[in-house]
Amino acid sequence: MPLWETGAILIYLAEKTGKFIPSDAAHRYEAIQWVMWQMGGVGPMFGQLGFFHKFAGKDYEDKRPRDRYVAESKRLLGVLNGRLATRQWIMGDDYTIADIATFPWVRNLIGFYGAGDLVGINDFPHVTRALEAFVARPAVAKGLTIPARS
Amino acid sequence: MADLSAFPITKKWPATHADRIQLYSLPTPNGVKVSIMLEETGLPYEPHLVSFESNEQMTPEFLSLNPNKRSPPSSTPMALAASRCRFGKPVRS
Repeated sequence: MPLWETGAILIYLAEKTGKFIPSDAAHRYEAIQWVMWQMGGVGPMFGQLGFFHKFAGKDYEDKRPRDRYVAESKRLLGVLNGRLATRQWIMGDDYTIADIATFPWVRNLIGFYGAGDLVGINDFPHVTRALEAFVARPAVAKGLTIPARS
Repeated sequence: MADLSAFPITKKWPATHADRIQLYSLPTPNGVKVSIMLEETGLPYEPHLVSFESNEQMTPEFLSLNPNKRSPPSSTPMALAASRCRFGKPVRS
């Protein structure tokens, strides 16, 4: 079965294994809701911020596009920070595909894009705390390097 | 159901272990979501690097599986072909 779009692949792998997705319907769809939030919000907005802050768009004199994506990224980080204020992970005690979808993008925003100061990442302490827990997982450390760049 | 050799993508990126999930990806924020999930679940898989530097995501072999043409520096195209032995099996609910 060929499959593309990482959100669909994550849901497929979770259902195939019964892992990293809640088993009861209500929480299951809540987890999928957060995956969709990452796919439709975090990925595209952080990605655009990367373009206007780090890549070709950084040379544009008009800073309004960059500022728009800074504001959107801050808004999204605020939503995530609020969600994590009373929870260890996005779905609570259990680590799920919602976390696996979201935290690589937060890591990338701060690291590769170098936009941590621009978005005021320290204003989102619950996000940075969960990000630290995420990258400390052995499977995450390994998965971040696969497929190896030749 | 067709076996893995029916997919043109396997001509460019041959499968060494045809019974494993075949992952065609790049370690970008989108790409690593799937490799992290595969590592977390422990499912057997075989990763293949789709190089942006040489525009491999635009090759006919890759597009045969993923028609969503994207260019760098935007996000990664991603495709996954589960192995032959899993074809036709219902997803566990």
